Amino acid sequence: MSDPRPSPDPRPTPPAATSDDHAMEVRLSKLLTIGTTLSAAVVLVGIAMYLWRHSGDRLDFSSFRLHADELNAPTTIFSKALSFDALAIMQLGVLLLVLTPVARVAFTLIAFLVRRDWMYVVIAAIVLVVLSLGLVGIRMH
Amino acid sequence: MTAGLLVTLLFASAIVAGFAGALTGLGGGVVLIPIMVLLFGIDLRYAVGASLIAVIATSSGAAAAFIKEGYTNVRVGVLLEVATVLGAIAGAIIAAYVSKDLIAVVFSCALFWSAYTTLRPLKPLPPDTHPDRVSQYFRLDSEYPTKSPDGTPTMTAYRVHAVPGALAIMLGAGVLSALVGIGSGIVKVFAMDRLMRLPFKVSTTTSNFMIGVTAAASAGIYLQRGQIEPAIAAPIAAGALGGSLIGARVLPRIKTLWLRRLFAVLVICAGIELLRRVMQGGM
Repeated sequence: MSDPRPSPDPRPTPPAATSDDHAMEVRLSKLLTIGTTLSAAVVLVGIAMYLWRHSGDRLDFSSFRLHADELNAPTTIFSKALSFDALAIMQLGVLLLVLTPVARVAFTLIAFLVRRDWMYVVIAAIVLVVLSLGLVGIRMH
Repeated sequence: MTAGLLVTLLFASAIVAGFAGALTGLGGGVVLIPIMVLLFGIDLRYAVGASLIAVIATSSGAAAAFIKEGYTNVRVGVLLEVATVLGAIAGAIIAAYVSKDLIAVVFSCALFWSAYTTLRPLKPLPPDTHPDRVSQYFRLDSEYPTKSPDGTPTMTAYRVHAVPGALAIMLGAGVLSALVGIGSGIVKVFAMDRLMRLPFKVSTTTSNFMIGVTAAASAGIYLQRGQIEPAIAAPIAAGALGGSLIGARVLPRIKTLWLRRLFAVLVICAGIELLRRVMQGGM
């Protein structure tokens, strides 16, 4: 325990960490706003392009069949989006969205690192490692 | 169905799901999956993939506001996250050896019970409660925005309790969500509300903060399997983002009792959805 004598103060006063934490939280909030705005913009552009050409197409997703493999891996999604493929742009926006929680965890890790809050550095690092493993798509069974 | 109609319907449903998901900290997947499967005739595998995207959208979309306003307890979120992600790995490993059907049935009963108890809030701990040592060590005690009796906004301090127990439950929540696919948000809110004795709005917003990470951890696998279909996931993402922003605007104004009621309704939906999947052999 960092503090062997827990404070006997009976009133729930805000802990000292709060004001320090607040600056970090404001930046964290900005990061999430930027990430979601960016992804929403890409998604909406993709949807607009898609509907422009295909709004009358009949879609049937009642059975699962694999779509083009290029839509299942980040690198090919990106290159296909660059060639203005509407579905790939939509998928790119979705991918950006998936990356926002990752960016968020990475940001908290750095923020705790800067403040030498080692306990939380370790905790955030574990989350980030597991998260990255999951994203890379390691099959665990 | 034509593409234009499907995209519009998915977008509209996701707004509702994102709204309810942001308020309750549940992400809204439990609303979306039955809508997609039963109303729009979408294969469950696509629906599950898209609902994962809705959860991430809701989480990231609303968290920006919840953090800035001071509802989310970021330290509690980061600490509990580690237990859920580790639990999720454990769940994925043991998934091959256990009966998912049995677990789903037991879990859905637990959900009905938790919907019932959520409507019976525990008495708040007296403000002079002695600080919890573990919680002090992790510096979890904080404050959150409330209204004073005359209606002016103020910050109210609260203490966090039973951290080891909550960590254990979070491990379980991770295992469960890996096994049955839904309900991790419910267990999170429940543990923070009943065990850690956090204010309900802190519990739901902190759960909202965490579920995006839990969902993102499995998103890679779903993408690889082709379960993230852009024609479904993109309108769902856009709608859920929009809905979550509305939810974030509403949360400060809504009464906690109504929030608990909405939470209970969604928990019951989740329980029914689980039972439905067991009966259809979709686990």
